[in-house]
Amino acid sequence: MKKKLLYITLAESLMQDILSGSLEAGSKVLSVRDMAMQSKVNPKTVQKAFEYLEAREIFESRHGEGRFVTSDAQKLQSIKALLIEEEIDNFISVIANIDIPKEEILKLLANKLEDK
Amino acid sequence: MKNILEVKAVNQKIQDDIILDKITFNVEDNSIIGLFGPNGVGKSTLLRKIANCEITDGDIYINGIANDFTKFRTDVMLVTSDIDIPRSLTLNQYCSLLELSFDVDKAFVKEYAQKLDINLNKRISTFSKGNREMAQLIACFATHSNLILLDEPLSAIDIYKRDTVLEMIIDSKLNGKTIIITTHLIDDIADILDRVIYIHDTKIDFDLDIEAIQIESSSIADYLKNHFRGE
Repeated sequence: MKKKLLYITLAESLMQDILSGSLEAGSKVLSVRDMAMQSKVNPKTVQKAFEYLEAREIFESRHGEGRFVTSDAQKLQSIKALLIEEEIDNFISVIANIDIPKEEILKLLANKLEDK
Repeated sequence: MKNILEVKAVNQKIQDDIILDKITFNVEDNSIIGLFGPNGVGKSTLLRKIANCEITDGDIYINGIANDFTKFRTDVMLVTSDIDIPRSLTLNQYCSLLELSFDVDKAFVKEYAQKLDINLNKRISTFSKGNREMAQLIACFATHSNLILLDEPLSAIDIYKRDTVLEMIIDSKLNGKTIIITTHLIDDIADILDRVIYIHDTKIDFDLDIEAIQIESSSIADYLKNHFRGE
């Protein structure tokens, strides 16, 4: 089973923070240095997490000002899809070794969602 | 990036027992390396050789200059629980003593002594073992040495202070230092590492970028289990 790289986990937790509002849209993001020291992870990992979010236009770099969370509603909306997609990829890789027809999985999933 | 450290064919024998057999690796400037392996595999011996404390069969270069254990060098520092700092001194006095040979960043000492609740003006003899270790770490990271070797730095430090010690290590990397760490608490430091070197049975068993491990396993401990199951 493929495991998640730490920078992806970090990027995801930042996206969760944006969804929950603890990291506000349009606000300035900590520097790589401060984020690394605060979350006790290697600065290189933080750099990669930031690059991941920049590539997806969730963070934007403004020259000389630092990094900001996007305030573009459409891009903020795309976070949900990104997080769900990651979870689905994860789910698929976990169940890859279980021999079960696709229809069965979909049915089970639909039932579970119904129960929620 | 340049190599701050080059270890070339380093051997160690105790009587007829081979402890280290032609250990060879390079360390890039400005990285954090985990040096792991079972007890008695020679990790501490290797660190002492790198720190220039012992005669070495093989070659070790730091900042491009060959180690010669008869000469004192200030570009490498080793922190272990056997090399203790003079207990009759305070941390402030110890730093003044270090200043005879090193540049010491006093602001760094003050900052981390405060964060770790270490009294700068109390004799080290009054400290607990954990506090002595932290005092030693602070002093060592505050020097201008750009290669810091930590032999079991977290063993006596309680979990509430551990995060601050990790922060100090990251801070030091950001200030340009290279850090090599041995510890049993592998997964406590996994997130700060750039690379893992694993010594087993006198040789380097694997030498991997941390991401190569993360992609295979959820933790370094897990990776080790699978690695040795495969043998």
